[in-house]
Amino acid sequence: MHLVLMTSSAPLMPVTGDSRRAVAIAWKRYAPSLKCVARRMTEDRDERRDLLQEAMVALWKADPTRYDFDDVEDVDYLYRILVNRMLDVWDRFPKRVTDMEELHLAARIEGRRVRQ
Amino acid sequence: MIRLSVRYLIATATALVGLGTTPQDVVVASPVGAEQVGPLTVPGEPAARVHAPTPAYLASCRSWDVDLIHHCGYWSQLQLETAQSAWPLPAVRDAEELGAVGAEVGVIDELPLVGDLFLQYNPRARKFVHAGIVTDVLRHGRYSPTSPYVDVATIEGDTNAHGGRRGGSVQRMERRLSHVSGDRFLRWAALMEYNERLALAGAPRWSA
Repeated sequence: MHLVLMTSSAPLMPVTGDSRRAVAIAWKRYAPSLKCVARRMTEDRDERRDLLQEAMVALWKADPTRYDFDDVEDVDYLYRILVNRMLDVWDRFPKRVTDMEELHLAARIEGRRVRQ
Repeated sequence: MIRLSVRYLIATATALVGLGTTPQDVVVASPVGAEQVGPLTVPGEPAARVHAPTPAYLASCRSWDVDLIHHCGYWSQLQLETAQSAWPLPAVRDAEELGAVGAEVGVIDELPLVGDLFLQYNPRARKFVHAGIVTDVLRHGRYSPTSPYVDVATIEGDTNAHGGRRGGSVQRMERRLSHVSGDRFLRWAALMEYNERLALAGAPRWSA
């Protein structure tokens, strides 16, 4: 059936793709929530930038094309990868008094927003 | 029996690059499996009641990436005189099944060669979720000493310009894969010898 569809009168489509473009598309989806989480983690602008940069590198390495963005579990899984990477980096920052439970709660709340 | 040819497979797949389905085509693929081409209308209802594909409906449609591989494989290795194809792989339902077939006959590799079939792994689902044909091995690299990757040029079905799944078209892609992430390569051309051995033994071989 699919081959019949493929040879139907569908318009010609772009022929050269690059899976790395998917990073930019996925980043648009995750960035607002990750920025909120970063703001909860630190008030320092440079540190926030570092956190987001590391999340983007993690997204690049994870390769969003592996995941189905119509699948909530996939969206959630990738979000957790990014937040965990941010937490790893945050752990290396000079320690301040921060409520870890509140941080995790904020990450979970933002995660719900990503799934929508 | 004709000998398997990687070049024929790539040439056949290349001829299909750029073709694809439109969203309307996707609508006509019935979720209950009825195969029909044409606008999907409800009998007795006005034609205006054509349904737009919902995300849930699209999720229920099977991806046709492995169908493209089988189509290209079967026709590229067909010998017209005998009307027999030397394509050694069976028609399978998805990339995971393709990987299982490859593992069963021992032709799965961690690094690609031109003509291999790539199998992209999803760590969350813990299975292969997408497959295509490797047309070129561009470069090997490393994110870190323990994170190697390989950039390959591919031709793959049911994707889009940024490598998304169920993209609805045949694309020539540049893709980064890594065996550390679970990706594998199916060296189907190595099955030539396997098929010849089976033929000598009189056993039926895998084919469409």
